[in-house]
Amino acid sequence: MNSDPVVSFKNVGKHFDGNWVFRGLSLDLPSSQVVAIVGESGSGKTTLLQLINGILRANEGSVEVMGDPVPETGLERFRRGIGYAVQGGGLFPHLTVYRNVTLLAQLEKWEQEKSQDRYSELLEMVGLDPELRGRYPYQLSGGQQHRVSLCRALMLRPKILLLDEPFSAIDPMSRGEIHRQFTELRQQEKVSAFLVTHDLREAVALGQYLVVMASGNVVQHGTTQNIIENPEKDYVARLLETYL
Amino acid sequence: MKRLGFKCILVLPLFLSFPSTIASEGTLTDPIVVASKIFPESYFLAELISQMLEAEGYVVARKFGLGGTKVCNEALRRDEIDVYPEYTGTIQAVILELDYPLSLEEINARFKEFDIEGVPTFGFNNTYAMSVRRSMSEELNLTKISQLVNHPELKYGVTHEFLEREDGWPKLEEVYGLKSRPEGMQHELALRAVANGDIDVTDGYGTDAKIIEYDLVVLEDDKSVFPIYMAIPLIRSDLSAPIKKAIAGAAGKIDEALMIQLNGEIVIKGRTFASVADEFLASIDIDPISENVDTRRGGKLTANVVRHLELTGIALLAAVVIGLLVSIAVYRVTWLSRSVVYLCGLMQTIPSIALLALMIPLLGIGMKPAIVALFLYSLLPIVRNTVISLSTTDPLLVRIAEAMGMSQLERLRYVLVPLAMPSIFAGIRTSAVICIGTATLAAFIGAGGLGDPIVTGLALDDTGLILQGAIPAAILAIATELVFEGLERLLVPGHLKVFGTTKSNQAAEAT
Repeated sequence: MNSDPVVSFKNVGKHFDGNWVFRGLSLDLPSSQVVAIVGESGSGKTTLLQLINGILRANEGSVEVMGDPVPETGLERFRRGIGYAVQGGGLFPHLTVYRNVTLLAQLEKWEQEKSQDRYSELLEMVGLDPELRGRYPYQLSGGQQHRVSLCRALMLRPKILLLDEPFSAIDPMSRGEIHRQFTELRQQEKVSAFLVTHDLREAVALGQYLVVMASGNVVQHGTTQNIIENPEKDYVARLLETYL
Repeated sequence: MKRLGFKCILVLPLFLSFPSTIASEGTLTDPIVVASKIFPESYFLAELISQMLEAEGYVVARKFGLGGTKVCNEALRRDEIDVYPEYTGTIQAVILELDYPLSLEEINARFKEFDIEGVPTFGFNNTYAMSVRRSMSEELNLTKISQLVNHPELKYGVTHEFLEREDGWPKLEEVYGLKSRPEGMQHELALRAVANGDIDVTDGYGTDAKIIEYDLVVLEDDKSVFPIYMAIPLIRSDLSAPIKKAIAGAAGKIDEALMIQLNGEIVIKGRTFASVADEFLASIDIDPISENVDTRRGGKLTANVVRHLELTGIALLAAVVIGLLVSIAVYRVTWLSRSVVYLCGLMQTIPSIALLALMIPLLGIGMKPAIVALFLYSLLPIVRNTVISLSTTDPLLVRIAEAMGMSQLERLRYVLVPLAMPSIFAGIRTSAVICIGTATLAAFIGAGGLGDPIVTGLALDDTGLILQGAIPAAILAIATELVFEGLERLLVPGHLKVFGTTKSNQAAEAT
């Protein structure tokens, strides 16, 4: 495990039309782990995530990714090093499974064979039949769509993976299965994952490191173990009691 | 779209080579262009001029059935045509907007700056005329309008326009001291009413063939109330002296009675302009090299269809390319895209005839202005559909594409445009059908196409001829629909049409 933080928030402030989501937020997040950012809706967790790949820009302070601030120009290149998957899968409805997964590889001008191999490798890792290649998203189940979405995010072997409530629309029966596959996948790919979720159980199940947020503040952050054993604030303690 | 593009590359050289102005007039490469307005007498006189020129060995291009005085005169000024038949009264009132009659010399002096001049008249005056039943004229010995005052018992029925026009009934009443109160009625009904004795006097045009059909007599305007409408060929001044001489070949040879008879041959007996002109020229010892050009047919079907496809194909291709580029350039800026959509909407509110007419001062007549007008007409559905569908793409998908590291162009190419495709296609389809319909009007400015037989048929009140243009145009419109439907099936995945462009994710989630 690397001791240098993979993402650092330095005194970051972000507002929308004058309404501050947070101000003066400083946070170092460790690499090669699953960092689960947990909180209620409106707590600012998605904003935090979107500051990492520059979809949103900080109004104050700076966000550093792997030691460098999020760049002003050349964002495309920067973002291709960061996988991104969201709730509902967000697959392109006009593209087949294969084209969805390999779109970025095509833009990167990968050779056909290399794309093909990587595609099969990823689909097998998430327990999908690579022969789904010709299907359109609407022909897949919700769970299948999420798996394909994960594969698309990992296609270019990014160092960082951002996940915004990726599993929340999946029925509880299959969630355990997909959680297990995700954990394996992450370990194999050695990617630093940042997972936004409102589900503390999911955060604890998947994250080795937790960031607990409430109304724009980071209430507590630390290893999952540490937080469960030593909740610093009443809010965290209550949260743990309610959900676990 | 690729196929359309290919087709247009094929026809583009044709389009660019029109009109050529290098060679001297009257040769194969640069024929003398003879035009007419859209009523039978104008067609006939134009055909007459054409045959007189051909008799002298010149090559003639017939551009008959242009949509009215303004179109013909503007085309002549721009040297797009070389000659067309006009009336002195129209020149005075409509073109020069004067309220006093002009001699040929005065007309020529005023037209000098436009390089236009008049040729001595054919010899007849097609002005307003008052006509009565022949039997009654003989019985009462009525030959002049001034005699009407002696017969206050006669009943009058005239067109509403004549009743209102200052140079119509009011002037007639004043100058001749007529006391009767005329009924306003439709022209055809009035003629029939005179014929069967329901009324006794009506107005009309001096050379109207109906005068023969209903066996009427035109009364002489012995106090010269009505303006003079002498028929003259208006020509480009720069035509050579021999050409001018040929055009003047029938000067003074046709009086009112003869013109009524000639009109009757065409309108009542249904003979072709060409055969009537040919027969008349033979009577004045001009022997045209008869090519048997049947100007009633409005050209060959295939040629009309091909021209129609050229007009719509080029206009539509341009509208697709420019419409898409403009939409892509503006869709992200709300006020800009709104302005563009409004502007395109504005084009569509201009009646198609007016839009075509507006093009003439800028681009003359023929295919060029027609294509530009059709292009402007086709823009709205394409631009509106494209702008709306691009700017309403599912924001989640747009964000994902951005977050994945796709550039602006890549997002458009791989995500936004493909997702907007069903809607863009619908727009293009609508445009194509509008274009095919509107292109029939292009005949009014001499662009040809399936409008040619329609325009000629309208002028001659010949339903068969109208259908020769209308039916192929309708078939073409349906065929276009089908072609685009096929293209859409090929290019757009089926489920996008079922669920709409942005709904497929939610729809899938529900499974």
